[in-house]
Amino acid sequence: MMYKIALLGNPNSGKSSLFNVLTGLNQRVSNFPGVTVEKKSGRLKDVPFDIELTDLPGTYSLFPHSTEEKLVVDILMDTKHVVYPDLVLYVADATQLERHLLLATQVLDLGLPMIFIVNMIDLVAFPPDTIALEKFLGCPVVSLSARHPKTAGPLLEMVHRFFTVNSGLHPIHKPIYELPESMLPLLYTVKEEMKEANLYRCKLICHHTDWLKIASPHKAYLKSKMVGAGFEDIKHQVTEVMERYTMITNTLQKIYPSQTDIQNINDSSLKIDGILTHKFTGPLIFFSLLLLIFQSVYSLATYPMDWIELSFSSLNAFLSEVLPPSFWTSLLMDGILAGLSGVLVFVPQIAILFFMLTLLEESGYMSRAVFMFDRIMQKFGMNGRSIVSLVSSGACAIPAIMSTRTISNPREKLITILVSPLISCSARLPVYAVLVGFVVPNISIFGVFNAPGLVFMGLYLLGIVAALMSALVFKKILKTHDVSYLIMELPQYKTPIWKNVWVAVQTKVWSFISEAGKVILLISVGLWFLASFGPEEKILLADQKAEQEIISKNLSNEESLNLKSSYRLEASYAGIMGKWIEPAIKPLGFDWKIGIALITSFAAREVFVGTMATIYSIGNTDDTATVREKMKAEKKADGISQVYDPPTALALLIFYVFAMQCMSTLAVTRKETNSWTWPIVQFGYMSFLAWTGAWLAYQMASYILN
Amino acid sequence: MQGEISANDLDVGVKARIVSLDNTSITSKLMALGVLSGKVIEKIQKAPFGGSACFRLDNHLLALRNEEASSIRVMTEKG
Repeated sequence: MMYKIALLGNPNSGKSSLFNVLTGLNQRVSNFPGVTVEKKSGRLKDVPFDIELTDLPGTYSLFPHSTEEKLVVDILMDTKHVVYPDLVLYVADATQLERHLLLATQVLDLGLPMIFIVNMIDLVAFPPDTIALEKFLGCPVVSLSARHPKTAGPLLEMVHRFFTVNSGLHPIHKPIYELPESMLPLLYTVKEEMKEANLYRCKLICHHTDWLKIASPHKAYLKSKMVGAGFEDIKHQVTEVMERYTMITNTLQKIYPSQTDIQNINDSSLKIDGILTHKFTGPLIFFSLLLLIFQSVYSLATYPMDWIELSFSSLNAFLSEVLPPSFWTSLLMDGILAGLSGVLVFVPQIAILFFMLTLLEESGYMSRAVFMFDRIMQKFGMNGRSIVSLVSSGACAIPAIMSTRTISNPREKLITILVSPLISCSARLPVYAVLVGFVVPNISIFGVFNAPGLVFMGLYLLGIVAALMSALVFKKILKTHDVSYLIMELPQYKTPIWKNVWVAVQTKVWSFISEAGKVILLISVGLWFLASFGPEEKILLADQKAEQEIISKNLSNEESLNLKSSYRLEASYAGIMGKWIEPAIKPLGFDWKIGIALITSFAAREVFVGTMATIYSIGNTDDTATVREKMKAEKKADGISQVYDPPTALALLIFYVFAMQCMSTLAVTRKETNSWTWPIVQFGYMSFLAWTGAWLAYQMASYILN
Repeated sequence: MQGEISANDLDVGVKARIVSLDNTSITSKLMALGVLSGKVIEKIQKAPFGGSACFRLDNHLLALRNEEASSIRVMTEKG
């Protein structure tokens, strides 16, 4: 039999560290059913049973204020939920015991078996009286420090004992919070109607009738009863929380009197804050950090990226020698391997970026950034937390949009989701890298800046400005009635735990490879098919035309092969599609080959480079030349002027800054907003920006250069 | 300044005792984060661009917008 344990606690209680200690690297990341809240689960190690441990989102109380907190209430209220736990491991911070006890007493009153864990015990001089705490809570209590994995031994023994001795037995628990007598008639009615065993569950049903999963006939009945009994949601929440705190405070005064000593812990954090969130140095340090992060992403990632590309090209060269030319060889090399290298080449960048962001998160800096920029973000209809999403967008819009879950105001969340993809993500990088050289030569300006670097920076700034401007427009259009607030703990600064950082980076990278990777690989194979095949009669006609030209011009062997493949590509399905959209993109200076790349890029931007590689390498045995060189050699119909002249390349760059070319992002938007309207709006306004921006850039650049 | 004011009106570096909270939809959230009557609250600093401030309660730090801080009634102590 498989037992289920849930790890629960306030944010910043060290829950994730303990999860890593208890499961080792044996963990999976998925979503909770029906919602896009990240679910981490893993097998508990060092116990002789099959126990699945699930890390529930950090929660302050059973009166939720965010999607994640609501999910926790949903799970704990629904005994049939797939992750409804047999046992709750409740994690509390020894330095914040009073506050962290609040949720624990609520969960105990739901009738759930619990082991109460006093974490960070190494930070307090005098640990709390465990036996007295057990008496107060009516559940086992254990102290440990997740920073020192060896201290988890007693906890594992306790879990072991729970499932051998208490197995299946739910202790009859005397409620900690005594329900107000005046409310009892209503609660008994609810108990009867909902076939509930526990009166405190009934009270929560009353508080959360609006969104808990309750069949509508019950819902209507309950609501009428609640009105009749004069049930007031907020008033009763406040009363309950106050009474719980009174009991907690009274108990702690007797058993944990040394709490005042803990004050000193925060003094060092305050000193650091004096600089890091200072009026002037605060924002300055924030932007320097960003610059440092992106700089190191570019410079450090180059080496592994070059290495990956080199490996693939030598593998390709090797395969083309040993394998006979056939349909399958072509599929393997130009379809599957090309797609695979397109996925893997991003891994170094994503890993480095997430490493840096996780460091900021784990050290406690990220919440300071939220605090500092809340006011500015509010001006743009967003929330301090949006800064985290926008910064993450610099890596990838998908985790960025997923991180908007912590924004409780629906409008602020929606605006953040809508504009996040305008921030240049790492997938645009290779496109920028290929094209930037066509816009400006590689020269330095004033001996300090190099010209392509400046264009790069300009493109990033353009994305940021566009995101903020679009946010302003959405702020004007979208109306809201929901309250917006910022109530946020600023945790103490801590040295990050390397294992946590490693696990987080590994998880993110793996989800990129498995989620985005699938799409990219699929597109790559699909593209290979589109570019290799076409209507039979068209292909035949193309071959004949090429044949005639070869004879009349007396071309060499290699030249005739190139000519043939280019005629074939023009006749392929991809060529037909590219030509079909050519009228729409001609004003931007794009030809039908760029059209093909635009079409395939609508699945994912990074496909652009792969498309260029496929377009220019099909039928070409010489694979060592880089995509860039092939694009440079590409001539217009007149055979003299370059296709990728500066105005066209600039327009293409601007197009890629603005365009919504990522199916995965649209899918995440659809999931997070739970509607098709918003992904469509997102796609629409970004496409509009892209076309208009590219058109302006092309027209202006052409005018200036002529 | 002395007497009953809101936490938003506190000067930086001034400690005060919380008297009461206005009942709003976010009151239970404030309480869960340790904003309770009887506790001592101190305004540590304002955000660099304004709009919110950082407060110290017991042994933890809390960032609150001015609107939220305004719903906290406090009594400044002598001095």
